[in-house]
Amino acid sequence: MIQELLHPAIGLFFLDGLLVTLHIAVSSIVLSLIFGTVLGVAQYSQSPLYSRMATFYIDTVRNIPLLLFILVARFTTGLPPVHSGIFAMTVFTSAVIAEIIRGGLNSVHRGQWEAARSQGLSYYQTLRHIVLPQAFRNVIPPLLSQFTTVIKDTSFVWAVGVEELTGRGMIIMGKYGSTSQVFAIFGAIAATYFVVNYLLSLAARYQHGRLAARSY
Amino acid sequence: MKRQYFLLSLVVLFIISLLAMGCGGTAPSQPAKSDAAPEIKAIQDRGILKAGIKVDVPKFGYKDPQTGKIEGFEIDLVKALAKKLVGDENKIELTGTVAKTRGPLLDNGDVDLVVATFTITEERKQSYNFTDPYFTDGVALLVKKAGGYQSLKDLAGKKIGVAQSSTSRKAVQAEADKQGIKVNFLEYGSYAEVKAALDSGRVDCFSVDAAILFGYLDASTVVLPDRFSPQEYGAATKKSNVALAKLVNDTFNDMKKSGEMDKLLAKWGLK
Repeated sequence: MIQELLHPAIGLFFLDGLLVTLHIAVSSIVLSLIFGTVLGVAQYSQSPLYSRMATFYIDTVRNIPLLLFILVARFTTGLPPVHSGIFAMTVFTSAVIAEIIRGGLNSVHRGQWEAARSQGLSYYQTLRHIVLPQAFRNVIPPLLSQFTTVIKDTSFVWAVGVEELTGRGMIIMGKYGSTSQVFAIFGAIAATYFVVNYLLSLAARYQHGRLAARSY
Repeated sequence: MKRQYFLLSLVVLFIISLLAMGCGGTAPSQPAKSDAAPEIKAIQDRGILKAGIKVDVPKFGYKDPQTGKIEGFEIDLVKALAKKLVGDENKIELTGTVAKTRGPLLDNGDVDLVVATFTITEERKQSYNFTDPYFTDGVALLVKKAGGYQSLKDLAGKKIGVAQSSTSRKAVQAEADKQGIKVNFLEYGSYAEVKAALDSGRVDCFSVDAAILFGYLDASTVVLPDRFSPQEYGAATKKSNVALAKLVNDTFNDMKKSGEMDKLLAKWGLK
């Protein structure tokens, strides 16, 4: 019975789901990193308007479940299912990343600002060339942790019918899910998420090591 | 600077991929019939019938992992409708639905109709137009052979797994009340999860419509002979799409009269 599961076509079908997962995860990570950084900088800003607007967005989004964003985005944006998933995950993840970035900005010593400004750099030049690079270096571990969460959270989009990794596993289970296979399929889904996240953490650790070495 | 260009390229690539995916696959439009209702004319002008179907229910709507094709009795019904509406059974756009998304997809116009093991109920009729039933089945019980259960009575005090938003729970509860026994329910997101719960011993029984259960039958399980509360499946359309609802219903009734519906049921082992 279990041999049926080892058919190459089923493996390809499953891996195709992994590509959908990666498409959603990578797109939302890249977009969230951009929006999250803008939000984090806005929240850190001394302008009360920017700071309050960013704080309102972050507090609101972080207190609503991701699944709700996914359902609402699917039925209100008019985007295709995968893109509505990316949109919902970006809205949600950018709020989390904003908090991480704000923490990173806070961790940069105030003296760095003063030194840069005394050299004649503007606020944005100081932020871009002096403070943000250091902040990013400091927040690599929590950012990585958030990226792995994003990869795992993509499984929520199956709730609106997107056939990502978990969804493909469920479909395979629909036909081949007898007692022994069910756990083999669950195991394959879990192992695939683990491998992807483990490779990501290895890559990040390598990059973190390089950056740390360069800064001394 | 290199890193900035890399980041910028990623964003540009993403935007291009969004645009490319959004623009893909326009179909040649069909000659419009001037006397057709606006919702029917819209489908004919578009040249594609958009339907919400199941992708995880073997025999009804199932994406076969070996071929990658979505197949089943309900898919054949959608094809027959596409042939009538736009003149080609292959001019269909299928959207996978789950119990939670069937209604909203109709409401917001993502799909023209839903043919997805949708049980007709009085409550649902308030929100959507349903066709006459194209398939009638009873709620049944799938149990482990090793449990030695013979009927619902033997499941007194046991846990029964059902899918969220399904009508099975109500049907089994009504029958249990009638027989004067108490049963407990655990709800899961999909049929596959209920089956996994049965396999792992989290529930003692998996309950849904018999035809769906037969898709999950294996050497270690058995479907009990009990059948409760006949479940009738109908195709649903948005409440305001009255003309489309009539056309779909007429098409199905014609298929019943001509014997085509029976042929399809037999093809998928549902008769």
